[in-house]
Amino acid sequence: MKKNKIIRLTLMILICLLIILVGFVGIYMKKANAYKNILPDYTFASDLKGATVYELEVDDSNETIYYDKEGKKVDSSTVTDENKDEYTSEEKPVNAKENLTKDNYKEVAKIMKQRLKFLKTDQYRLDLDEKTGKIVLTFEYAYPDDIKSILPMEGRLQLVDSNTEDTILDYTDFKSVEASYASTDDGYTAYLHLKLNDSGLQKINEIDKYKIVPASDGTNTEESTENTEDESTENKVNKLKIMFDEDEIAEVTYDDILLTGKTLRVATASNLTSDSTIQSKLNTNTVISKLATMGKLPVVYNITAEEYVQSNIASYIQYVAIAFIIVCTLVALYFIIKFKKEGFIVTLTFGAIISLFLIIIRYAKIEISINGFVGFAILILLNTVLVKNMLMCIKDKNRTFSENVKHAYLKSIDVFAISLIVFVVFSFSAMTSISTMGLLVFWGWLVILLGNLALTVPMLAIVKK
Amino acid sequence: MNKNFKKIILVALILLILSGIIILCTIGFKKSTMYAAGTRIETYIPKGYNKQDIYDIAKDSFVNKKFSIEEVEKLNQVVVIKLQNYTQDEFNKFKTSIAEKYNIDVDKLEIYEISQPTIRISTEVMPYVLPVLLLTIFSLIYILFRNIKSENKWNILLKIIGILAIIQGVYFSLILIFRIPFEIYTMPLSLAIYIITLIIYVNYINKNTVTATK
Repeated sequence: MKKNKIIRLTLMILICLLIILVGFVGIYMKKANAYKNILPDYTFASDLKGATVYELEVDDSNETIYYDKEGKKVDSSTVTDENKDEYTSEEKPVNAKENLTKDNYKEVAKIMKQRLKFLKTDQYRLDLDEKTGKIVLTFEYAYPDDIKSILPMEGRLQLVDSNTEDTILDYTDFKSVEASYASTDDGYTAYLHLKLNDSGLQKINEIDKYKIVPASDGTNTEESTENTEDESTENKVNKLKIMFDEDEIAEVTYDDILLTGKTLRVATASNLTSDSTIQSKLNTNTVISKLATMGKLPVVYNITAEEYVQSNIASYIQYVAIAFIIVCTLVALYFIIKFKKEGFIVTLTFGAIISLFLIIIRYAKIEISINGFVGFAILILLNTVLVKNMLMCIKDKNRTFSENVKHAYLKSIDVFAISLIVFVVFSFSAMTSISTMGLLVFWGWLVILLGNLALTVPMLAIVKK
Repeated sequence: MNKNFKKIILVALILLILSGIIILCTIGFKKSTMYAAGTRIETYIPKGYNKQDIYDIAKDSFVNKKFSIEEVEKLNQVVVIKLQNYTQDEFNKFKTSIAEKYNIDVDKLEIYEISQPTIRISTEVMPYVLPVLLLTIFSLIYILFRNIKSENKWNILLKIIGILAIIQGVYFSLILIFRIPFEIYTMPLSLAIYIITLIIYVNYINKNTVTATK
């Protein structure tokens, strides 16, 4: 009987040692003349790994503005070396000095945060230097490539007459913009819907030569121009450009715009049949509508740096590791000194449970962040409380061994419950470095609960028999 | 423990926390180089560099100045030194030493001084507020149900809230009073202290309840 007991105990100790060996050292297999650990590597969060940093600075350059003989501003692309003499030019700073204020910088930061939200990016840190307006954006995790093109955009939507270059509507004339599309017999049409404010409405109503009449019943009451104007006149007069910042998004006739109530509908593309073209036009319109609604940046910015910065806290990790080793050693010494044989067994299973936990987090690809170390601390505490309760309870000779174990688990229920709350609350945090801590606690919770039932309880049962 | 002694300790802790609050409202936290406004000295070393060498050169050039080193890009060619104040002489010494160390002509060495905005402490603290608040609320509800039959249930809850608040208050007050820089680990450590205090105290209440039942 005693021999059987020794064999079973030795077998359990060997299993524990094997788990510890696998967890802390790994499993090495020969692959291409080299031994490689077949266990997956640990996954680290950005605070332990690194992050991408973008720097955006206020554009301090000058731009050349050209005017024709009548003093009207002309598109710089129309000015060439040959016709340069026909125009007068003026050097102007991209950002007027009076615009470089603390309030405007804050407004830029606010709009950029809205743009990042639109790009479904929430794992970032935005720091603003209120004196210089410099913005530093740190992305801790993957981020969309669009950030580079969308963030520095001014967000200035304008409707400009093609012939006169007069701005018919600009960003101050509407409250918001929406994108939509509709199917017609000839294919799809992509629209922008500009919700005009009073000034915008006034401007549109004043342009009677463009044949737009507000709809009284919400339906299309646009006057037909097809029969009254010849083609050459229509081409010459009835065109307007949809401008977004310096880019021409579309050139449409005035027949392509329709005022319904306070909403001006602009058809930016029609007769679309190809799926890719429809999607591309719709995407462009969506971006324009969202950026225009968020508002124009009061200050123009440039991206001046894009860097990947590696984590700078490797030295701290050493201290954390040393602290954990010291704590675990003290806990082990306490158990061994106070509970002798049983203390040694729980120390061994403690090591096996930690190893098991380390193996699981490697396979589950849970990211380890600085907050993850908080999770490790909670788990050490959780296991210490459970194991101590177990060792105290099995001393009670009035109950059977299994009743004592049950009692120990019941005594630890509060600690398990609080740990479970930690898991639930922290796992749903928007910050990945916090949510991964919740996941670590969950897996550790499960491993401690079941690992002790599978290893500690059978070994203590053998010793106690 | 003597009741008077307990009272003295409590008053001392409250005074400590009040001092912390006053410092927080007046001069705020002392920020580490990671969070404080300063300058990034970005150096491009085409041949690659050794971090320890850069550390030694920076230590020798910026005497008695706190700085941090960031490795930029994975090609090990760009290194960034972050520090708050330095003189032109110190900068020139750093530049010359780097050029000498890596055999680069000083005039050809690509080195840039970039001003860095301050990072608000609130951006570090805010992500923790909601989870900690929810953890506290759910834990208190759980403890209330566990002690629903106890006459002291409200006292227990108040005690837990008081202990958690005092321990967190003391932690941050010590950081503020002794001007310990706010570092990347400040909030995780605060969280660890919070949760461990909560778990230990809940376990303590349970132990006392069990003893009382016996």
